[in-house]
Amino acid sequence: MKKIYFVLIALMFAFSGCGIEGFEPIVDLKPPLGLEVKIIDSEIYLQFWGLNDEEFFSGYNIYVAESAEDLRVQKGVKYPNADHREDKPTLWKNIRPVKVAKLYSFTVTEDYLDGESRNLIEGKGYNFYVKAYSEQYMISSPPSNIDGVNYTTSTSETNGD
Amino acid sequence: MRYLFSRLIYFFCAVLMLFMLSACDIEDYSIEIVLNPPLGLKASVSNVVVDGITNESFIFLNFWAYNDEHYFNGYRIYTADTLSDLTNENTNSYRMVLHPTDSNSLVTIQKTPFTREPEEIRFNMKKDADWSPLQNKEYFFHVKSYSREYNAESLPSNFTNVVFE
Repeated sequence: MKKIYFVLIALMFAFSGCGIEGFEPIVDLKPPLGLEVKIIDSEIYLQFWGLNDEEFFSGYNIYVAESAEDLRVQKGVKYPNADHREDKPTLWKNIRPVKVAKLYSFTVTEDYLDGESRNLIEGKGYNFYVKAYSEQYMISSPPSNIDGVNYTTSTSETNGD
Repeated sequence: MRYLFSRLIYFFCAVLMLFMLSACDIEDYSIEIVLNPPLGLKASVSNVVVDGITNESFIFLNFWAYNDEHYFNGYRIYTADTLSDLTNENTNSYRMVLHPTDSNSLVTIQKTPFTREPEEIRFNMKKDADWSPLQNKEYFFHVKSYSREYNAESLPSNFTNVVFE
């Protein structure tokens, strides 16, 4: 009878060591890159490249902070989408998985550093990064490069370089 | 009878273990090779005065990348004379820009994996893909990240072009 117990325990080990993680799909998202931020006609204009061919890809979340360092320590605030749907990423309408690199753009007309909408503030720093997002798995890609501007209305086109 | 019963239990357990092991996800041991593609590729013509007199022209390429894959080894820049040559994966109508100092290198730019944040990669192309001098013509480019270990490439970056003159 002891032998039977021994076999049963071995069997339990086999079950527990069988790697449940083997059933989990790989759900990495490729990060968007090449983010560039400029001021055009008193609005902050973002442009970045994405190549997200993952079938579970849903869109892009855009984060803002006053300094690049704040973004690096995850203190960025996610920009809401135009429909104010909290379950959706910042850019989601008409965004589908693609097979070739695609250029995306987003125009910032309001300050959202404190999580509330107000006018852009003269002289303030606005730094951004973008992450690809999957609604299905609720995961994000690594962040894109960071770029930003010191907001001013005095010139028609500037950037933070 | 008791002996027969215990043998049956052993047999049942052995069959169950074999079944478990066979279903134990062999694909666990195969790695899916996915490399993050570089993006934001740009090309421009630069001129520098080399020794106070000589004016040297070359093509300046820059792009953004984030490659934290442990099997990543560098970037392959490809060039062609037309966009259709560059986008046609079924023909050898485009060529890899060789490493500036090592013609046997499998990559244009050698690089080890980096994890902190995306980096801007810059490259001065002073010779054509076959190390011949650059010609006055239009060049088309894309770039891919590369794994020597798996001889695998990422998807291509965006395409860009420049007229060298």
